[in-house]
Amino acid sequence: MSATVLYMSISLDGFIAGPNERVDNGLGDGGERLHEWLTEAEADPAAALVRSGVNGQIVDEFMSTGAVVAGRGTVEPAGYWGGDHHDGVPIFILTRQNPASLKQWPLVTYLNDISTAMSRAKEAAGEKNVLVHGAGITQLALAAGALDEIELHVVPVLFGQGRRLFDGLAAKQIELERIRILEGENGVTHMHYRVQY
Amino acid sequence: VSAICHHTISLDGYVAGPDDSMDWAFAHGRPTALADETLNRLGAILAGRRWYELAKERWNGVDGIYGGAYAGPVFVLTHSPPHDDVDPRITFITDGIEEAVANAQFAAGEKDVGIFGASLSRQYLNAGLLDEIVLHVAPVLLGRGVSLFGDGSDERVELERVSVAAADGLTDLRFRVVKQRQG
Repeated sequence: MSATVLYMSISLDGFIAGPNERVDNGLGDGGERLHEWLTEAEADPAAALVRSGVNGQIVDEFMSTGAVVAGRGTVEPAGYWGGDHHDGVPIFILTRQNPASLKQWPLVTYLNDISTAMSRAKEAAGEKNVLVHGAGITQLALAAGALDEIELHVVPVLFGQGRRLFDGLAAKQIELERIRILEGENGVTHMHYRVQY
Repeated sequence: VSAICHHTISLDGYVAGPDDSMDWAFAHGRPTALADETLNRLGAILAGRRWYELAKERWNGVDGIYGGAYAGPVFVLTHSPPHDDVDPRITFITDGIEEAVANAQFAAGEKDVGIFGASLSRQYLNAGLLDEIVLHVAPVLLGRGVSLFGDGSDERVELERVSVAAADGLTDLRFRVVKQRQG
């Protein structure tokens, strides 16, 4: 069955972006360090996505999902991925704003409720999984019991400050089941968990 | 002599939960091969005052370290050492981190020094003294607690992954500190 899966690159101390995040500085200061593993030429964010080795396997996995769910905090700095994250799959964006006031893209649907966004995305993805991306949406989806799996790409660096992935969760323990752990290239460790609500 | 910080952490990066709870850490499997290996390398342990208070209260102090398998000296860094009823195996250091390091290193001899406590680990890291990070990642999100290395440091530190292993529910990760200061 199709699952909603969070894919996030994260520092060992739990940050997904550096400090001073803005629309024109989406990953925060130095945040690109966390995404170096994704591309063939490490220093060039515009380079092609890595498609070989363990890291390539992970990229292939999230690039073959059947729908995308993200928050506006994620898609705005990313320029809405030019309207197409991959292969023309539908994109569901969580926002409290009136959709009519936002930029329109053929593949994008704006929704204001996390559970609706997740179920619509699952429906659209059919047999495939749903790619979930972003910190704010993770917090909402966990609270709503709507996130099925978590795949973290743990980058061997300590940021010390920035934006935390798991900030603002309720002070309630959530149990996980580890279903996979892979040693990627460049010291990145891919940890995959199923959420047990 | 290497300085190794050794923690069990939740997937959301806490070394202790709300109210310093540690039940979650013990609920996910027995000590792993990496934990045993690390224990065998340690010739001295340096801990913070908070660790000492918790250990005294919950795990019978020094007897609780590695389930009682550790028999070496323990140094506790504190501004105000207790006056009562102190275990003779514990030495309180009040002269600051350099003095604590020197004492622990001397006591460790040929072996390594274990660093216990999130804030002490961060102090070690910031002082450029930490060599290795050994973690057991528990499959749980706690939502609140004491962060690994604390918060708010602007020191970015590059690491080198040494090993990864699955051990029951825990995931063992070992890193070497590569670069202390950047930019």
